[in-house]
Amino acid sequence: MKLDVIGKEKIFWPISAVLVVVSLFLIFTQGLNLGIDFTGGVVVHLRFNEVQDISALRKSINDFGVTKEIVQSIGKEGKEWVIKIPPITEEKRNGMVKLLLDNGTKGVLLESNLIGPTVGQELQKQAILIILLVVVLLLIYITFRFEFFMAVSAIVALLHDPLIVLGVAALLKWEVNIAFLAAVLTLMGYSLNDTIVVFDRVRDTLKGVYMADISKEINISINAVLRRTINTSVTTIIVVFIMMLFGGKVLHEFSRVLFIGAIVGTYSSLFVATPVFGLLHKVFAKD
Amino acid sequence: MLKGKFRFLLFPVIVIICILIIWLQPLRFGLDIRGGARIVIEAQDTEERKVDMLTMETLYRVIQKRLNPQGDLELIVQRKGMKQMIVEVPESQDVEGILKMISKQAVLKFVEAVAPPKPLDEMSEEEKKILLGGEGRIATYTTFDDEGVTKNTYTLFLKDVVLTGEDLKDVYLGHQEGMPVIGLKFTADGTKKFAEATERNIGNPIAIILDGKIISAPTVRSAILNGQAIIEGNFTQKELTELIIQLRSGSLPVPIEIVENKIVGPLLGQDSIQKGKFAGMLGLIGVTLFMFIFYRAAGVSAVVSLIMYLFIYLAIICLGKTTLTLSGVAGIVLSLGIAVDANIIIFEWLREELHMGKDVAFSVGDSFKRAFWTIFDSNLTTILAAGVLFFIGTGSVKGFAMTLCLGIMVSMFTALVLNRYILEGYVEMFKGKKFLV
Repeated sequence: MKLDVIGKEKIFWPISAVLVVVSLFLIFTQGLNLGIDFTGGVVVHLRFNEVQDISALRKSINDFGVTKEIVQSIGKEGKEWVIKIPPITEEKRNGMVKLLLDNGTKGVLLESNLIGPTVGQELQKQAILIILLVVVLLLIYITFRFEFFMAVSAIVALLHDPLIVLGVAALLKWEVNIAFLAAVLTLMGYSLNDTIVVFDRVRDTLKGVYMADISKEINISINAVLRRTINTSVTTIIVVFIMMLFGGKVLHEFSRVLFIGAIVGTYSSLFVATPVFGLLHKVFAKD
Repeated sequence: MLKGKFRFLLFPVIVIICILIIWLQPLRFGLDIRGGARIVIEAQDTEERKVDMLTMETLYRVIQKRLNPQGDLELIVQRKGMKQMIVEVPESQDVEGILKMISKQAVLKFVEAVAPPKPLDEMSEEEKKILLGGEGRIATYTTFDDEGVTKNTYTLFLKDVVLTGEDLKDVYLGHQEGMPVIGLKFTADGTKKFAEATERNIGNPIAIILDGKIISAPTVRSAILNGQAIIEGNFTQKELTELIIQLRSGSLPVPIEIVENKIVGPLLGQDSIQKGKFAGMLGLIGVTLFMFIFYRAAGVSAVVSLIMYLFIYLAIICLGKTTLTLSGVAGIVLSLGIAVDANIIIFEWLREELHMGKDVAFSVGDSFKRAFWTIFDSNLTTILAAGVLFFIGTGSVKGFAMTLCLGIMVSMFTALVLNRYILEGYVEMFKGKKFLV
């Protein structure tokens, strides 16, 4: 199978551009569903003996004096519920749980999470710092081992991936918490892994080539590396897909991010990183 | 290295060693899997003391002694950043009990005191000042009867501190006239100070102050030379026992604030781990099938080296006594994917070389050489990212980064070294490239 990536780059640019723009739009309008790890607050996970009605639950919570609650049902039975509310004192939380569970007769408390808002802020700061540091470190390393334009293209592809994943998360209202952050960072590292594999081949092919327009060489490299890249991604996707289906709630949420990320990452290694590199080289490299 | 069939003995040997390690030093699972209580506290600066390394060390020790006095409980106390500490008690749901135990500073002070010579409102400010001395203050002390009804309220002029909790050698539960009391024994130095203080103050009360509040103020009848004292007050048996543990462990050097507390129900964790194990198994099977279909004999070699990877990896985790959290497990599963990638990179090279008609034995060696730098570069970039996560992240993120980094490093060994071992053995045994890729 021979792919003419560079020739058909006119198809790939618009696809990527649309995806990125739509994602940004979604992120800023829909907004991200920031989890309690980022905003701080109280999360209470209850399992009732009987099926509960959501409005009755809401009313009980409001009557207790708590507003801005998020009540979510887990599973299809209507017996398991997750309640998220802005920060309250521990006494108040215990009181609320006691009331909802009618002193333990109506059900059981599975998990209870209290995070002061300062922790949430700390995490937000960390997240930004982490992403910045990763970008800088990678830029340095790739320039050192390969060359600067490849580093830039790799970073472009790298930033392209989490943006699209965040767009999907905004669209589907996935909760953004620590697990989500870990998954996004993993997919960034993984996508990079993939991109390096492609550039490794390009680097080989370009040995001794000094032209400005290296489209042909890039195409050759991509085709040579295609099978390897796809197989690499397929194994990851198999594992992640299985985790998604069978891993239980926590692993599912983690894996679905990786699932989208792996697909987008493969796409970006082949069809974003390389055309960008080709372009940069054509425009800026001395003939 | 070992030749022929013998090289395959290496593998069972490694496996047995790993199994031994895992058996002797079993895997430790974190709170999110076992369930338990997790509390994060933050030490607070006060006017007298700013939080520093020594403060945190003292805090660490005191909390350990309070929650685990016999040393037999599985308690995890860790520093977090400059001022915070994480306390985890696996399989306990008594967060309130734990909070009560560790949040009380339990600063004990013995202070010389005098009862006001005449009613307070008849005293001038001057007279009060003279009576108080340097750091004194006026405080009230209330006694209750058995029903908790106020019996008497006294006003005392508190003067100088004569003893503190540091002077205690032992604290124990005692009984006096059938009532439970706290028995105290002072150190040699403390005994001396106490003797002097009691001699000086015969007829006056000595106020016993806990965390700024007077809990007892017995009048000194005679000099006490044996360094022993009793605190009696209106405590329940339970309060007394708690207080004794707190005093025994020493007071907290600074007050603390509860930043985070969380109960993880084991129900939740068990569920996830069962499913996780199942998903892991399935994933392994899926990958095995894929590798076999696409890479045939080499694929089998890859799967064998993958299994070796799992054993070696788990053994290292057990040796390191690392606590495995849910995100840590996620890191493991992911590094499995990366381990497989390394194999694929090698095999694609191998295929190319064989396609070009090169000698089989040479091709095997050569493809590993050529693949090395690709694998190195790609894995190192992932390690760089994980490294940042490890150093800046906390808790789950850190755990994930650690298992990921470790996994990548072990996988490089199994993919490049063990794998090669198997393939070279295969080529030698079957004298050629039958069914290789």
